[in-house]
Amino acid sequence: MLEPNTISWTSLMGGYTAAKQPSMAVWLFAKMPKNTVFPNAFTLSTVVNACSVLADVKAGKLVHAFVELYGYHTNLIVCASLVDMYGKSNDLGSARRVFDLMVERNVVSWTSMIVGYAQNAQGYEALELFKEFSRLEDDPPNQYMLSCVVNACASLGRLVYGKVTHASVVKRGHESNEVVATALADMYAKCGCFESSLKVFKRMLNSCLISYTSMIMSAAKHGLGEVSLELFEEMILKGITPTDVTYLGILYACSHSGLVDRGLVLLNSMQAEHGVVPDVKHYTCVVDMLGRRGRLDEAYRLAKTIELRHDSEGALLWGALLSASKLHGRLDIAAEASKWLIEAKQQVDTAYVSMSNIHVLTGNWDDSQSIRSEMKRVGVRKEPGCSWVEIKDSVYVFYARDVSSCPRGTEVLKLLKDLENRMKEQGYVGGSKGLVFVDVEDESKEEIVNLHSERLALGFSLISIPKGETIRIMKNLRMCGDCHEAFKLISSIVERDFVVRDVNRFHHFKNGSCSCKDYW
Amino acid sequence: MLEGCDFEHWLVVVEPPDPQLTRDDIIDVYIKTLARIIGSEEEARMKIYSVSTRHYFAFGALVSEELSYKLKELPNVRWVLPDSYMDVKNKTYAVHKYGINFSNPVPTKPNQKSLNKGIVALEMKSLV
Repeated sequence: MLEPNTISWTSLMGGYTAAKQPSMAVWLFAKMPKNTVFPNAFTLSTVVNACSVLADVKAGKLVHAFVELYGYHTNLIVCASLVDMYGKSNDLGSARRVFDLMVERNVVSWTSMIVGYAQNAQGYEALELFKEFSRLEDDPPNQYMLSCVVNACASLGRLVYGKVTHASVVKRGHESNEVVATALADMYAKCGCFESSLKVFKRMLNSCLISYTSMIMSAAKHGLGEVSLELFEEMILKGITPTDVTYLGILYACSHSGLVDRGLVLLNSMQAEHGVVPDVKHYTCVVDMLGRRGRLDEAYRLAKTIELRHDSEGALLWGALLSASKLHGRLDIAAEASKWLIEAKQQVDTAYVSMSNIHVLTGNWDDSQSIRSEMKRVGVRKEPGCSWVEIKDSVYVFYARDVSSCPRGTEVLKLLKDLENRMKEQGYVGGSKGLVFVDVEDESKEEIVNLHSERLALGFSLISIPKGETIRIMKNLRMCGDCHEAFKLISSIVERDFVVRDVNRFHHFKNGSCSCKDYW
Repeated sequence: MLEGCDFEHWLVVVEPPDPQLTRDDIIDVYIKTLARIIGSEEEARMKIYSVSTRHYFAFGALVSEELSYKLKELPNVRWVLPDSYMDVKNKTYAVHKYGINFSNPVPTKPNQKSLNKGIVALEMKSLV
């Protein structure tokens, strides 16, 4: 070109960014003044966008300075790209400042700010901003904004907020949009409503790799391994090629539903069938799968053969082996797994607690005590158990043994005691499977286990949520064996359904049994 | 969470009805659907505060949370979702612009006077 002008420079910069060479775009921008070509709003937003892709906040800030210098600081397009760039570089303070200083905003600028909050784990701020947008602006939300808000609800696990957003989606006419539908399916699954999730998924006209993979993983987390496998076969029939993430989902499904042989077949054929090379994460799933089934020696042998690039990769692997060996009383493997974790400084608190618990199970109170002392010396603390329940638009949190801060505490305790008695009539023995950490008399053991956070949460839910609605409880740790038994019995006594999400998966309690088939 | 969200206003999304049906027929289906839970068609007419029969098939029902769970179980009901204002400034649950047939500004505390106002609006707009 004889005399390239602003437009040609801008187009070239845009081209480089689109061709995944954003650093060239930034380089070109730096060359503009020397060539006496001045940027306009589009140039500036293009180069800011390039900085966004590079996640280079330093360069972004330099360009921001130019934005101010050239007087584009109130331009809608430039500001939206600045908000986006700061959001992607995790500088939410700057993003919000730019946003607040905007004289005029449109749906794109609001969406950039909401996305910034959502992607930086500030879901509540994202929802708050969406509420403000609905209040202040005449423009309707578009599909991008709505899917972002739905994703925020999913990450917070807030089903009610997700449903409110779903209503907006329907009313704004975006129910059939693929991106929104995928987000809705994911939200329902993450909030414990797999049925609704599947309902949304089945209505999608063109399910793609992402939606299938997401559903496979969701079904896995709900213990519905067969559903995962059906979806997997369906997607292959449709000609969609699974990726490493899809395989991770399907192996996780097999692991959590006891489908060991299917899982092994998948592991051994994934490379040949779809060119996916199994990596540490896949092997971890298989070790976990074998371990849960009690095939500890196979699991152990497999774990030993896996090459780890760094210690954090081994954390889940040896953690899985530790859990499984605890479950099946293999003290030898548990000891080695704990040792590995402690030495590699991964999941140290879990390792120490596990070792302590194993000694408890086998009656070695002294060994358990010495580990507890070691934990104190080293400064390791077990994360306290806590559960929470969402009722309408409030969240109620419960801590183990903490009755004083439990809302309607006396009523809850009375109900739990009453249920205890009814369970005992059916042969329930409290405290026998729960993991207790101190050497106490049998009766006190029963007292301690009975007040695990999920029990308090359940008691409160039974008196606060009307019959007919499923009770949903979220817990931060793995549900203990005793509470699991109790929940099964209670579900048949009171004739209600409960869904409990613990650190690993979802448990659906109904009519005296659990969807995990006691296999978690 | 959003303005107007009080867990008494519910958006009831139904399965798309027979394409041959007229708008009035569809509204009749809505009334009959709600009547199955509430008891009578008269009651149902009073409790429906908005309908949509074109771009999506749904109606707004003013019922308790407990009744909303019963609605969910009906075979032609796809979703029962907490409703909120579409137009926050005017506090309405439906908006005229997007092909939605009519809207009924609902008072925050429903009483007989405002319900009667609603019935009149319903009758004037379409249900004759």
